[in-house]
Amino acid sequence: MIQNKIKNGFIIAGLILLSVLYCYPIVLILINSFKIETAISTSTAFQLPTLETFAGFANYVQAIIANCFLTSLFYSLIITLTSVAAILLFTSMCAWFITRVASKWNKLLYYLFAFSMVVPFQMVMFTLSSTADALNLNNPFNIWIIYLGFGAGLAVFMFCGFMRSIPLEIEEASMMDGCTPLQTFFQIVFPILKPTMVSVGILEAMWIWNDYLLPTLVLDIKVYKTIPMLIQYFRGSYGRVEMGAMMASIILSILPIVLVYLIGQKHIIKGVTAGAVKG
Amino acid sequence: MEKALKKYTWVFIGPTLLAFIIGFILPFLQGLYLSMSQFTTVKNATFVGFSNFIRAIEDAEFLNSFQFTIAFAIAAVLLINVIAFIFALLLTRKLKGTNIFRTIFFMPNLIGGIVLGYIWQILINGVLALVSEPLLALNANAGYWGLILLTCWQQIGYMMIIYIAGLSNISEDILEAAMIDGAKGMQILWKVKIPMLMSSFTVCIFLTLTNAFKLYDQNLALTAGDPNKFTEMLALNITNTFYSRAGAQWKGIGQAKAVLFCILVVVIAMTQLRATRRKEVQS
Amino acid sequence: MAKVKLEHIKKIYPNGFEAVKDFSLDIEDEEFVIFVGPSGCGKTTTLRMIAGLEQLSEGELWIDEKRMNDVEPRDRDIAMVFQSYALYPHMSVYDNMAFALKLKHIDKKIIEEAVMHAADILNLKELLKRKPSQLSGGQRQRVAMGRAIVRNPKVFLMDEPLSNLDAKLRVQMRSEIYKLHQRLKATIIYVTHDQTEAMTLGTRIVVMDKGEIMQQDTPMNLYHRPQNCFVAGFIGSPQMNFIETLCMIDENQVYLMHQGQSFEVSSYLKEKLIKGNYHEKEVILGIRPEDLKIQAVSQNSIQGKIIIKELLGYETSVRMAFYEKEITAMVSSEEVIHMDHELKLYLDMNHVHLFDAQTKQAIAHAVDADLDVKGRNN
Repeated sequence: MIQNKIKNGFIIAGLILLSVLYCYPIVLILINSFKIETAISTSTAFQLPTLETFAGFANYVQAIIANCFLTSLFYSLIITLTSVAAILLFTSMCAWFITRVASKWNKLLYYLFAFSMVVPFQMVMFTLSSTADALNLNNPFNIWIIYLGFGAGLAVFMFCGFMRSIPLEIEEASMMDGCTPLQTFFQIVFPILKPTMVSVGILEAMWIWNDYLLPTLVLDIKVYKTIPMLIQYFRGSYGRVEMGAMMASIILSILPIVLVYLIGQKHIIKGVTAGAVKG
Repeated sequence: MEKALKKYTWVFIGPTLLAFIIGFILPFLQGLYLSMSQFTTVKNATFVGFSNFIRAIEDAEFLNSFQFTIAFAIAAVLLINVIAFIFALLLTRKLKGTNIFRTIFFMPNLIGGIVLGYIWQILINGVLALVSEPLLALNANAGYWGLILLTCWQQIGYMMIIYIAGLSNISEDILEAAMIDGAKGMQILWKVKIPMLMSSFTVCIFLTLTNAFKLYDQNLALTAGDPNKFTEMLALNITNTFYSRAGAQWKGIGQAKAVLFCILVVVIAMTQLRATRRKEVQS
Repeated sequence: MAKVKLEHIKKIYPNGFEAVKDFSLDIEDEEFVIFVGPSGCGKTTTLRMIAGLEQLSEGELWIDEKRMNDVEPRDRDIAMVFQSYALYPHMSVYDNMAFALKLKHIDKKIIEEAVMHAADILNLKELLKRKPSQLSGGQRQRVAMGRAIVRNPKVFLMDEPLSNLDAKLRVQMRSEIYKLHQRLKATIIYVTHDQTEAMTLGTRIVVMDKGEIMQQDTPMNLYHRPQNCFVAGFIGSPQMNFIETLCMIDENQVYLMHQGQSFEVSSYLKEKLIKGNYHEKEVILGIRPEDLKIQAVSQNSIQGKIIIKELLGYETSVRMAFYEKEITAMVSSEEVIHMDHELKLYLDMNHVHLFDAQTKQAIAHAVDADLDVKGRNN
């Protein structure tokens, strides 16, 4: 038993060390985001800010004002929220229909959705962006239609997996109680789906929030920049990169995610597990 | 019930189907057609048959990115899964504070590829400067291992969570039965736990493998293919073919590459699923 | 409350499987009809067709003179209690019961009255605020009942409502359902595979097998006058013993022969066998375990070695080897019975049943002799 305790002690020590290493890359950026421009370079990356090199929140102010961080935050939020809402509403309806009505067409549709999950984005990126232009979906307020189409695969797949485990009898009972199919869906099925909604919502939100290539190709980058686009834009644009503002932008972009994660940690981890096991 | 539901067919599947057609089916079919055309916009395409495909496989950069992607995928899939599995074993030992460790290990997974790429670029370049090695832009080896390191950092937590879920699904009864039958720690791991976790392995290998092949954001942000396109992976190579190369022929070739890439990913995913699904046990 | 009429109903699945074959039945107002049979006999499918959850492939369904074939379940004014109860997991007990009335936009006060009334009958008043997941199996069952009662429907359908309860609770709920029927005077159609439930609850029982009605009758008649071997074997526990015999008729003397053993039948059965011209034909002799007695009579008795004995309390079930067959008897627990010993059992020929070995249909029941003579029960 004592041997076991020593062993556990070593394991915990190891895990603590690993945790520190795990957090270090972000801490490094955090430290550098408080240094003045001239003190940030590859050779001085690991130095802590001194009295002379401490910049306070100057870099953050710069990121927010000059780099228009808040505008990007707004676009990212709009796109993520509208897309996730549309995906949750429409794909759950679609998945319910597919699982409850057995027909060849529905089977085909289901396999097409599954197939779309595997297909790499490069296969459709060019044609998709031209379709988006043609249909006026090339702005943050309409792009959700594209996300609904491209994100439907995963969502339908997960909803179908869960719906098969809901006893059919509950829905039949509601039909006998006087529900139309729409009432059955919205009053009975939708509330029961809540846990799966959380899973699907988290997975889709993680993808859309962080997505870079699709919005870059679809949106007009001069007018609309999501957060990943903003960071890549300032990094990749010609001229000198303002490292301080860059560091601050990175921290600012991670901040909301980390906050949401720490609040909804339990749901997120559960959601991810459920998503993976169902898929 | 089916009969009543069928009257509402378009209400239920209409919106999703329409968006799916716009966002996937149409672009996919159009993409198939364009892979056999020369074009600069969708409208000015002229049919050229399979010549794009021939030009694609003759493109040395494409072949190089193919090799690099394979080499990356093998190392990444192996490392991520082995380490994630070990983490999962450690975190299911009923130690104190496992929840905190789980939270920390999972966190990088939430950060987007572009941001991740820059964070690691700064860190790796810092280390390289410290040991007086060439920076990422000139150091192909560092680029390769940097990408693997970054992917590990990002995905180990996710896979670990799946393995933890799998491990905690194994009932105590079975482990106790194995112990009563005389199995020791390692034997229980190899003879009982791992066979019962095959479905977790299927999922994790599937996810890591497809992620590895489709990797784009991290690649763009960390190395952008430098030095000299040596660390350019398939997705980046295809995107660059489309948008960074001058000449009317390149879009068609890019689309042909994308079709080949798509076939590759689908075939690999299907083969892998079939191979590991067969080893799964129903309990 | 209502009448239900099923005319030549069939259910054929797309794969060609015939789940229900030509099912016709008239159900009167206030009747408690039981569909009983082994699993896969089509009883639940029939019930679901009445509910409207399955389409009729052929035939017609009438409720109160109204043709229901193409009416949606929600418009049939039928309530159903499901085997799994199918409670809405996200609603409280009160909301579960009120749901159907709310959909009809009925006045809140009236809904509350109806729910309270049902909760009163079923003893659910304390539980109205709970969610289904916080209830025990028996409580959930009562909520499912309550949900049906609140609606005051034309017909109640119940699909094995007690099969998910443990044995003790099942007996208790069984008598509560019986009382409920007495109280509500409702038309109830009830599906079960449990013959005890069928016998105790039903005013009429429909025995089904492989999609066909084998017999529909009162519980009494099913037990005493099974129309065929299937019903005879299905109703009654332990099962009726069947002895295959050869009928020999000579000079007004009738014997049923089995492996050199012969049984002499009563004059009533004799008459039936002669009339049916069963000479040298095969006849199945059916006798219930409770009609085999330990008595020192040489005639009409069988002998064999005891293989199994099970003490059930008041009675003991004894299984005995008889040639290549096994015969079960229920005897008083006071009898001294030793394993592996020889046992002699006397067949009470006034309670035997005869079946045609070819058609498996009943030829005659010995008990009817009594009726013919004394005119009882008519």
